Parts: sequence; structure tokens; C-alpha cells
Amino acid sequence: MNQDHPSNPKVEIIGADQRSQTFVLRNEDHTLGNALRYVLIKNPDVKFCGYSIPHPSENIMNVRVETYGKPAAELFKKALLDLKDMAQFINTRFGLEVESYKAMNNETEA
Amino acid sequence: MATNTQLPPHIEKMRSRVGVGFKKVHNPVGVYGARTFESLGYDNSLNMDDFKNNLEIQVSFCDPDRVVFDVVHVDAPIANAIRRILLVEVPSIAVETVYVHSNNSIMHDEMLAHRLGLIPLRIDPRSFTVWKKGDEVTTQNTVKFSLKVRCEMNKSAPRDDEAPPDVLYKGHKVYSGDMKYVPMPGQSFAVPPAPVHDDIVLAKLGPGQDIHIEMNATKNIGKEHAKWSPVSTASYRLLPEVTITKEARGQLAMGLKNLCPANVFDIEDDHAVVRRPRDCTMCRECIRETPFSDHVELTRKRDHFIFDVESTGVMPADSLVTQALNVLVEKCDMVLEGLDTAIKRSSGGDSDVDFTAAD
Ligand code: SF4
Repeated sequence: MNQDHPSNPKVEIIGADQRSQTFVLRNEDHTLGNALRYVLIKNPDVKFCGYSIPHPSENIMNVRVETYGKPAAELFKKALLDLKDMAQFINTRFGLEVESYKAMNNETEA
Repeated sequence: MATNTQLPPHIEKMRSRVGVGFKKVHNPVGVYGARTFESLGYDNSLNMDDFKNNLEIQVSFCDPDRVVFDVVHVDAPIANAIRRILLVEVPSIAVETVYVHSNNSIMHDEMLAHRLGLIPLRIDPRSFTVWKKGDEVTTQNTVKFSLKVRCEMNKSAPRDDEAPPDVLYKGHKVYSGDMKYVPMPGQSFAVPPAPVHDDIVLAKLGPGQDIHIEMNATKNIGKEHAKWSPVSTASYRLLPEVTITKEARGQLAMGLKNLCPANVFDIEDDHAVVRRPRDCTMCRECIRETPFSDHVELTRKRDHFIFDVESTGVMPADSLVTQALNVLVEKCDMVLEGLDTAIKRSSGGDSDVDFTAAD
């Protein structure tokens, strides 16, 4: 796992044009890649978005974002924030539902 | 973008359903592009407020070992992220280092060590830090166990060579319950750490054989090794939908009802009705042959996920789901932080990215 070396940045941005850039993420896989691609592609400002893991033994994932004019980094950040928001919201709702399920079932048992 | 109108029914069906044909699955790939249906005046983009209003979660079963719940109006990439994180990125604690002082059983040391690693341990990993090879062993990253067993002849056993070894010998089977927690100085737990099951057979001994092992259990994730995966299974399926497209009555209705192994259909007023679509296994029996295939259509709802998460017992199943979602949040935070540094780095001028080029 030498690729984990701390001098390797988590994110690198490649591309001279702000509107079309590639974000190189380290130590991420399809879990985040596909979810991020989905959120980005759901944004009407994004012209193109795709991700790839060029080689399975390199822990590198590329996310390509091309936009209709806004800076790609801005949309990429928004996607991350949205995804985080979704996860948090699902978590809260799930917690509530589990609690009410447990409350209901304890009642019927008692 | 255009305000939302309804899509024409046939396109709406392609968007929101997965068709299950006899020989083929129709529209297996979801269409998520924000502008895909723009020309039809349909906004397919993600709106966080809509997402929050539409999201439905229903728990249909929950106990410490298993939780079954529906998540509705969430798309596959998100559901899949949750599933994948449950499998390999929620941390747990398992035996990592094994010191074999003595093992003269027929089981090889490495085989025994592997078996020990796979034993689920009931320890809450949340207060622990990850131990990596070369790190110092502390109370914060390690839980120590020992296993010391010896097999003897059972003197009081009947003098019968045909008797099973369990009767002839004492300590013939080595169980996971024989693993004993060894507290390190300064380490304390509300519930003493122990294997989830104490009746897993680790090895079998003959008279005179013994095993003496010390082991360190550490925290890590299933990506590193499957022994750290906290779930037995974490899976989802899409909600099945069975539709009667053409009225089926009389003999035909009866035939349909008897045909279905999952007992999905009922008969009401001589008509076949779909009563328990959730139980449908998509065995396709009802669309295999005419005349039934003319009356039934099978689909799955693309944004309705039925999750089934089974814990190995190390932590309650519902808490695993909560932790998985927290891991997803942490991942986003980590990338957000990395993104900020990357942007700073490139605007600091130490890269060849020219930010003045745009527009
Ligand atoms: S696919 Fe199989 S289980 Fe489902 S309704 Fe048809 S016969 Fe019943």
C-alpha cells in the first residue's frame, strides 16, 4: 500500500479549461465514483460526466466533468455536498423509522 | 429548466420500470441525465428539496441480527453505494495477529490462524483506532485473546473402542468459546469482549494434543480482508410489480393462481387479481407460455429498493446501516477537503493549470 503515501494528494485537478476538468481521486472506488457521477449527471449545468478506474492495482479514479459554462470544480463541489446531504438525510429518516418500528413492536409484545 | 410535465406513458414506463420479459430484461439501465427528456418538457434533474419530500423509508423487519427496509425514490447509484459500504467499508474487529506457542493438532498453524481470523467478535469498534503492521500495540487499537486447550483420555469413559471420540476424550473439540479475553492494563469494557458464537468448532484434538495460542484482534475494514466485513449479507432487490394486462377469469384465473409458486395471485369474483406482488420471485412461470403470457406483465420499480441486511452479530444490523451512511458522509468530507487543497494549490501558482483561460 505504498500508494497511500501521505505526499499523494487526495484530489488532483487536471485540465487548463475550468469548464472541462478531470478530478483525480485517490483511494476511492465505484462506491463513490458511480454515486458522484450520478449526482453530477443529474445537474443540468453539466454537459458531460463520466468516471473511470484506469487500472485495478492503482488506487486512482478519474472523474471527468465538462460543463455548459460554470467552473467544473464548483459543480463537483456541489455534487459532493448534495451527496453528503442525501446520505445524512437518509440516515436521519432511517433512524426515525427504526425507532418507530422498535416502539411499535415493543408495544405489541407488552 | 422546463417545469415538470408528465412524460408520455410509454416513455415514463421506460424511465421508471425495468421490464422483465421471458428471455430478456428490458431497460435495465437507468436514465439519469438531467436534460435527457428536456425536449419533452420533463425535468429529470436532482432537486434536493424534492428528494427530501419524496424519500420514503419503511422498516418491515428489525432485530439485532437482521434489518429489512424499503427505500423509495432513491436511485441505484445511491442504493448501491450504501450496499457496497456495508459490505467492505464499515469497520469491525477481528483477530489479526496469532502467536502459536504450541499446536500439535492435525490442523496446520496457518489454517488455524485463518479460522481464528474469521470468528466474529462482539466488540464495538467505534472507540478503537486502526492498527497497521508496525504500529505499537495499545489499549486503543488491540484486544487480546488467548486459547489454551488440551485433550485427554476420558478415564471414566466406557471401555468401548467404538464409542465416539467425544465420549472417549475430554476436550476433543476446540470451540470458539474457549477463546478467552485477556485484558491489557488500563483496558476495560462494559461488556467483556467475546466471540459472537461460542459453539464454532475451531479444531479437533486427539488425546495428548494441545493448542496454546495468543492473538491480537484489531480494527479494520472488509476491503482489507473479508474477515472485517460486519455483514453476512447486505443486498437489495427492486420491488416486483405484476400486472394483469388482460382480464383473466374462470379456468384461466384458476390456472394462473395455481401456476404461481409464490402464490402471488388470488381470485376475486371469478377474476385473477394480483394480491402479493412483493412475494414474486420473478420466476417467469406466468409469462412462459400462452395463454397466461397474454394476460400478465412483469416489471420492477426502478427506484424502490428492498434492502436486506444481515449482521454477523458483531453489531446490531440497524446500527450498521447508520454507520454505512456515516462512512459515505465521511468519504464526501474527505474529498471535499482534498478538493479545497487542490484548488488552493493550483491557484497558488505551483501548477501548470491556467485558471485565466476560461471564458
Ligand atoms: S414470475 Fe413467478 S412468482 Fe412472479 S407472479 Fe409470475 S409465477 Fe408468480
